[in-house]
Amino acid sequence: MIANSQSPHPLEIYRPITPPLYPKAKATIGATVAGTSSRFARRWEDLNNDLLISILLKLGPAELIVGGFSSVCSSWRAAARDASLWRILDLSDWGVVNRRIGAPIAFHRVLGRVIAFTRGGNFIEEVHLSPYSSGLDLILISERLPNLLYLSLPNPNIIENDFFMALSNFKSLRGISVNRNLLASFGVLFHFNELFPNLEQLKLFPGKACFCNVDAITLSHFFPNLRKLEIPMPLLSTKALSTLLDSLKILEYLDISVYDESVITVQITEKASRLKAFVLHLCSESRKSMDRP
Amino acid sequence: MARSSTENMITLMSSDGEEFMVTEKVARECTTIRNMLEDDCVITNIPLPNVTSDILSMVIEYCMEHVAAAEKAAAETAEKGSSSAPAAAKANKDLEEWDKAFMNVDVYTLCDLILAANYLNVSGLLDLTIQTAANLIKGKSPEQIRKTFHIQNDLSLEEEEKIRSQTPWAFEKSE
Repeated sequence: MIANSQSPHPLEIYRPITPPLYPKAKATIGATVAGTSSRFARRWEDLNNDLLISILLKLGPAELIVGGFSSVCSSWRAAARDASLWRILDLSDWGVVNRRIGAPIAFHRVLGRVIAFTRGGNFIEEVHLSPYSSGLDLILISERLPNLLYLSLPNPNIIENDFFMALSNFKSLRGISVNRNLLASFGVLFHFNELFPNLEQLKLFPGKACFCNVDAITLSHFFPNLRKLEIPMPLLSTKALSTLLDSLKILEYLDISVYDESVITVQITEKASRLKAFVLHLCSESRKSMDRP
Repeated sequence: MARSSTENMITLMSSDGEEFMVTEKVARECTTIRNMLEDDCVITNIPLPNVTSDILSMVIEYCMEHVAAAEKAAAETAEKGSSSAPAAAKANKDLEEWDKAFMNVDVYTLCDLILAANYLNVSGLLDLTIQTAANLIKGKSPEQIRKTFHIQNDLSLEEEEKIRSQTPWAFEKSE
């Protein structure tokens, strides 16, 4: 399997001796030996690192984690370990990861592999977990990657104790994306506020839940220093929106969804004018009845 | 493709000395050449020592097709005042099909095209070739990838054993 260039056994010759067929080549036959030989000097294993990385960036998260490219040869392996590929560790599509491997696999094995492969995972800044990631997965992440800046945790059923254990391990969390059930759990909210009073980014989901004024008051009390807030919940009241804009003094970026533009009154527009970005997604009314229980 | 006679022609010379006459518009699809033309507008002959004639002819073919498609879309918009959405969608689809057919090449040509698109800075072609390469990698085991790209495995047995123990699934054959 390992070909040695000094002793080319017939079976080990991996490059064609005759020129490959170029379906589209228009150059006349025999046009310059120099050209032909220079093309032969170009091999996939010699492709420069930046180009290899741009190819790997197109693979998608699951393929990046479990794909075969990382053990092809030393130059590809080096490219696959480049920091730029691992800034965001996206495990949100866990089903795809499992399908790619062909069998269910334990979360800790995949995480362990990624951390070993990326030399300790020091350049992983963001982790996106799947809706099936448990509280134990969360604790594991917090133990192995304590320097994380952003975490997405869609599972609505994480128990308070797991939150407590995990949160205190994180040292520099700046943003999270969590299920809106969090707003109902004051214990966790207090803990959050104590550990990360300067949390900058928050995203709440799923989109079907309603977001009323009480939620807005709770949110701005426990996360007063948010710069970026995303609430993709179309059942958002004008009152709640007004509370958020009044209480979150240093908010710069607000991303919301509504069914009906009338939620955005003149006053809201006025208050929102200080923001750097105000993103409004208009959801269709026809989905409204489906979304409502 | 009707071309006005006043249009500037540029000669591109490949590494093996072959000359290609193209319109300035087509040449400008290559950002590297566009920058050269903007620095020195009287330049008419550009040597490209990093691109062989067969690859250069393909790059030019790509640029011509994309310039023609853009011109056609612009002409239609001018004629009707606004381009009709279905027609634009069809034109896009046609161009996508053309791109797909254009990417029906062997892996050596693909590698050369990536290098040429990168050197000449043709962003559309670079994106297309890189996506094509990524698609060839997807779902394959290391051995299958080596076969596809004719890559020599230079990892030592020790290294390979280490990788194998860390990531057993990476060596399992996918269907």
